[in-house]
Amino acid sequence: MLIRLWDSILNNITAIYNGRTISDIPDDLFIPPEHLHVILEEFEGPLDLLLYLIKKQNIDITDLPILPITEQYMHYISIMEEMQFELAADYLVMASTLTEIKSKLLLPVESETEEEEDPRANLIKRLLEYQKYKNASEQIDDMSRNYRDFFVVSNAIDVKKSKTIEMPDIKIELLKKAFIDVLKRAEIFSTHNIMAETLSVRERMTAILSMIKDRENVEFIKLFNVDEGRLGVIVTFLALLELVKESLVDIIQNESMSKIYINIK
Amino acid sequence: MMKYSLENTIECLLLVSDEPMSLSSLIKILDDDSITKKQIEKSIDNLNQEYRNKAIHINKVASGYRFQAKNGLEAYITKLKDKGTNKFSKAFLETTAIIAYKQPVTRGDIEEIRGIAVNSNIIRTLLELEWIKVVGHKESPGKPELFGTTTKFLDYFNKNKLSDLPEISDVESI
Repeated sequence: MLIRLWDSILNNITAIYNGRTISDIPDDLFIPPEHLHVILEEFEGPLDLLLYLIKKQNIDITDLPILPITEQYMHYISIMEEMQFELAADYLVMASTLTEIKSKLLLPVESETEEEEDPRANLIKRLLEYQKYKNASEQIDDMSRNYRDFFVVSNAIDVKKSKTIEMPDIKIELLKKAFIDVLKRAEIFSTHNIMAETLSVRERMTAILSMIKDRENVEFIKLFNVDEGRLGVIVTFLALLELVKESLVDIIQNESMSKIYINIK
Repeated sequence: MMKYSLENTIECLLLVSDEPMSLSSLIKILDDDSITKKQIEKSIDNLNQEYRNKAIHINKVASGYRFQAKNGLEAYITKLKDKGTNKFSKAFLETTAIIAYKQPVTRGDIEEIRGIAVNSNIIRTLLELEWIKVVGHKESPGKPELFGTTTKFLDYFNKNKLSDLPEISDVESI
């Protein structure tokens, strides 16, 4: 279908619609650019396009009529340019080759004696050579192949073999070291919220000590100043425990349920 | 001394192997001076006799021997493993054909024949598939790489050697 549409563009212009030939394509006929793109991709390069043009017109390749072929080729190129497709440079090279051959054919042969090669010879040779490998590629396509025409047992011919991942050799010590390094680095970036202690345990320890020093011993309850609230009470208690731990004071209670005294050591 | 018969050992090796196994690789693995290539060939013949009434058999391709399914199970196997469409582009096939039939060739040779620049992806894919390899460098400016096909390429198409590929003849007219 696309090729037929393409033919109609090339042949200035006949389209076949429902079996009828339409020679005038309406001006407003919109051919989506992507369709032309598909047509372009139908050809595997300038040689393929030339072969298509030659075959389509049943031209004898050994007597390649360069003029009509060149004209059609140029027409193709110009349409592509109009459509603003990025033409592969190779298409343009072929255009200039064709023009060169055409101009050589137009020039009169200077002398009869000089055996001048037919300027078309090389192009014809290339076209035939290309056709040969085009045929070969079709034959390869027809060959039986794995997972279409025959099947290999086991995972043998898994054509797109997944790449085996090489496992690096890591010693467990290295892993440990790396982890420690990470931890160290994390430490650098860790944040600390430093807030001024409203009441310092150390400071309270000093206060208690100086209180006791003056009087040898102080009743436990007297240490606390309820005005400081819960926080003050706790700080005082912590300071007292700290003092006991550091063996600076003794806590004495003569009998159970009696008063508790703090003595200096 | 082998724990199992030569037949059974070879059968196991071929089934376990990811790749076809050549006679020489079998010899090397079996590592027993008393085993000859002839014996291995005979064992494989014997195995195929045993597989006469089974759906698999041992087939010889370019890289060596491998197990293949016999014809007639395609319907099941394709359902079992979806291998995609298995379709190659024309450009891919033409490039492959030129390398296969005209090797060793350079990228330039391929471009000369096809009249259009070679798509690097195609060469890369062919190299990744290990269908082609660099067999040398041409003594010309830039020392371009020369490509040739591998046994894997032949394996994929169930062939033993390059001459098993369909013959191509020069085109006189089109």
